[in-house]
Amino acid sequence: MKKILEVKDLCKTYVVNKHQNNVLKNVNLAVAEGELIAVMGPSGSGKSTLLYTVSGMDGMTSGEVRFKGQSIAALKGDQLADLRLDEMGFIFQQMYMLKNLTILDNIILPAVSSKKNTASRKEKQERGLALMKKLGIGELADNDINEVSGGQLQRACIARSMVNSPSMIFADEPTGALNRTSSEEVTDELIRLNSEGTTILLVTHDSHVAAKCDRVLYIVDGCIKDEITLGKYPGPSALRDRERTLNNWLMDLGW
Amino acid sequence: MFFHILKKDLKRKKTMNIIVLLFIVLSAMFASSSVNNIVTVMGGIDHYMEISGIGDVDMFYLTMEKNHGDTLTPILDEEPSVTEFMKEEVCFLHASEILRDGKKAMDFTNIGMIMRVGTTDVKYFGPDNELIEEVPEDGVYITGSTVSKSDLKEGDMLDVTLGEKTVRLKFLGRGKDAMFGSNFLSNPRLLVSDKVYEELTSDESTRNLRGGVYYVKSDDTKALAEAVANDTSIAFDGSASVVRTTYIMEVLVAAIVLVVSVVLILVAFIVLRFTIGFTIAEEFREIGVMKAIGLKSGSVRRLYLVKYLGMAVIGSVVGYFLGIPFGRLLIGSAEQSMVLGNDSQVLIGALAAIAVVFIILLFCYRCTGRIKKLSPIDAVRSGQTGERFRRRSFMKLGKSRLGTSGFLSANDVISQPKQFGIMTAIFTLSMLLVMILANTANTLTSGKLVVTLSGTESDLYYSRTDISMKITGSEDYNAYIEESESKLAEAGIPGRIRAEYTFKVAGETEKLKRNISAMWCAMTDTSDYVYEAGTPPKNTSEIAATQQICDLFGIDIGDKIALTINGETADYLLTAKFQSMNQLGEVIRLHQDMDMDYSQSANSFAFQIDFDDHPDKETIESRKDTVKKVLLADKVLNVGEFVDDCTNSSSAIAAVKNMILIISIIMIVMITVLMERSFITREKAEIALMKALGFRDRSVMLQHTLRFVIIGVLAGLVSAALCLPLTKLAIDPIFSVMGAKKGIEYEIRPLEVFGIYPIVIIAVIAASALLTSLFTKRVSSSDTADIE
Repeated sequence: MKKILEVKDLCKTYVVNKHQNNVLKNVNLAVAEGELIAVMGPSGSGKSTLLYTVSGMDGMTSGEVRFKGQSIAALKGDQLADLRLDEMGFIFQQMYMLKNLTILDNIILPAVSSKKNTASRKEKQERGLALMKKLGIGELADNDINEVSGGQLQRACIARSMVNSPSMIFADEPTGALNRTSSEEVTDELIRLNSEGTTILLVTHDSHVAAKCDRVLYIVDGCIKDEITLGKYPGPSALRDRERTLNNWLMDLGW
Repeated sequence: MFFHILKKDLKRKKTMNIIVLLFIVLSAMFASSSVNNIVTVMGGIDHYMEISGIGDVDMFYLTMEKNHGDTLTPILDEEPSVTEFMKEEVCFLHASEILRDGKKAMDFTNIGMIMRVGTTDVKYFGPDNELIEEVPEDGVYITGSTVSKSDLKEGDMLDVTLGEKTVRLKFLGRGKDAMFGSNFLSNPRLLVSDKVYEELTSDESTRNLRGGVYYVKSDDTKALAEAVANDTSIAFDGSASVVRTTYIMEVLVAAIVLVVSVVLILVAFIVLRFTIGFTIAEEFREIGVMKAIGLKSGSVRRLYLVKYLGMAVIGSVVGYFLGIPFGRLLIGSAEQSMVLGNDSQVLIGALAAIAVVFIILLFCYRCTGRIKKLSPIDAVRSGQTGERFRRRSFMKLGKSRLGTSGFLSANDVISQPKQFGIMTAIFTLSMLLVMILANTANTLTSGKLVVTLSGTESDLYYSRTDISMKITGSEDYNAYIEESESKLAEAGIPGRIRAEYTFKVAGETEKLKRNISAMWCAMTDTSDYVYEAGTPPKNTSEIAATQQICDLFGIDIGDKIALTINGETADYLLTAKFQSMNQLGEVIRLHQDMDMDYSQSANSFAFQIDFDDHPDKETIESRKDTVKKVLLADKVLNVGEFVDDCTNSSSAIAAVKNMILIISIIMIVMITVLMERSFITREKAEIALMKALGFRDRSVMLQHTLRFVIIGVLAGLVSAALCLPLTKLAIDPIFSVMGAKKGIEYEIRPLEVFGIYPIVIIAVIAASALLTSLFTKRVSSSDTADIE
């Protein structure tokens, strides 16, 4: 299958108080179109850094990241911004939204800002509403962000990440701040999105979430130590077996 | 532990802490300088009169003896109501008698005086407010605003002539004269040594130039007025309040300083209150955490109080010292013709700075008041979500036609009305101050006031003080007019020439008997003047008067008043009322056919020229040089310049306006920079999010800049709407004191007032916001990972 993201010898080093901290060390990774990949690992292992670096949100120290065949390092600030706007979607652990906008306006904001998205503003609004309905939050369009629950807000963030029909979505612990029920709902939405063709790279601590992914990478001390391929998630009936397999694998890795 | 948290806080929130510290410095600077200025201005004139030695004088007189000798002294000696009086001997001279390198050293149309100091208890001050106890033999101080208008410099050598005698004197600087030194009166006085004065006045030919300035203390001013009513040597008389009122323009400038000072204090505290409130609100989450781990509310509150106490003390000390030069800058414009000051400047400044410390602690105490009421978890939540149930979003992106940056900025302004409303109010105040002063300065140079000064509008005005002094009868006057009109005709610019004269006449009704000023022009029909009520006087037994005269004498249209003119007393019928700023509005107008004795005139206005061909403004301007050459005029002025010359204050107002514009711009730059910097710090999460979503740097900068531009434009619109009513509200009372009781018509120059000034201020706001918004570049999309 065609590669959407290719990472070669990626290194990321922070210097804090004259101490060099190698957060990512020669990471190699390839993501095929339509894949749903989870990145797991202990706290401080470099999961989020990997996500931000490969998505161009943060610079790399060395190595190469190619998104749809294009080297991210070669892109200037504005080109990177356009790439994020039109080709990528982001979901964060904290449900970051602009506080002065309604839920719907927050969702359609990237669409309205995009020059590539030539739909009329009305069409963009309708798409935003359609996404909200699809995610079960259609009635919250005119609500302020402080008037809804965390789960609803995270689904709104998912809708925002989808509004420009990106090629790939990056999610940093999207269920980290949610309760079990909300977490299930959000994960199911991501799986549904993936089943529609969107590539997703997500960071999670939750093996329950990771068990629904096609592939799981395990990262320790900035290196991908191992990975396991679980295949496409067929549905809830296979979940227990997948979770068991995953947990055994994780335990072998010292999780 | 307590100090450890404090130290960490100061280090980690460096930017916000520096911003708050800067606002404290600003507040202390504004407060210490402005409170001092307020105290100084409030007691300004009284203080000046007091140190000049005329604080307890009840009446002032200026007499012109004109070969009749001193007639007032015997009256005052005899008058029982006079408890004490002082007389300064003066000799009159005009501008052409003061030369520098053979040319006129300065221009003035009011009569000048030469005199010595130290003959009475009246004090005069030098350019640096130093007391002039003695004038060096070869030196001269000159008082009055005319000096500032000339290019005279200290050390210049002047040839002063009186009669046949000429002496060469070194100019020692502008002196300050409480009696005649106001911009409104501005009769220059040359202060010379005894020796020089005696030398100059030894010539017999100077006898008709002699006069006196009298400072009279009386226990019954009404009786005094009656006693001197028939003394025709009095050219000017005024009560203590009238002399104080002649400082109206200085008071106007001082009042503007006062208003600016109050505005600056308000602005500083509003912004400070807002900044502290917002900074503490941002810290609620941390407060919650501290409470959750067991710190008591009092300890948490003390943490912030100690922090702000430290910052307030440092800021106030710095602000106090910065306030000293700033205060001088503010008060400087009001001090040109007065000696202002208070004896407790250091103490007042220090008290104001200390007050700032207490006010900051009070703000902090109030802002941290919620700490006590909140449970730890409330505080944590409050820190995260802010006001949970207040609706924030008012605009709809889907329905808007604005671009993203435009929409976000407009929506931010509407969603945070308190925060942006305060800034709009501050920008509005700045614009209004400049606009009101511009309207005032423009009105003073527009010619619209001419009807309240000389009475009628003419094409050009010119002064010949030497001729005015020589005209002693109708023959002289008519001959001069005829000769001058012929010269104009020969020069190809035929026109009519005339001049308004003022006479002192005694007025009497059942209510009062006193000296009043009467305006008269033989060549202007009384129906040509502007009246506010009644019908113009139609014959010599009818007069018009101002409302002030009506109030003084208890008369109204249709009533009669007895006037003693040329030694003859007769009843005159009041037929009309008019407005005048002559003699602060205490004047009457006589019919043109009255037979007046020019030798008895107290004052004459500039000669007025009305060209026969009714030329346009440009042609009038082009004829100035010809008129000056042909008629050997001291100066030739158009109507606007003439009004400016009479009121003598447009340049002072314009200087204050420019100063206020500069101060406003500095204030706006500081507030915009500091507020935008605090917005960036506060909105770091949103900026990072926008960048993560794919917004370019310039979109974020544009959004931040547009917010300020929107409130700048809003401020411009509000200012434009309030400009005229507030100009009337603020400035009408000033002109009312000067005599224009019914208000005046203001000269509004739309391009300047509604165009240039708001655009300059909005451009400054935009530039400051744009440059500060460059700091948003420091926030990157990856900062979303670091947001708490």
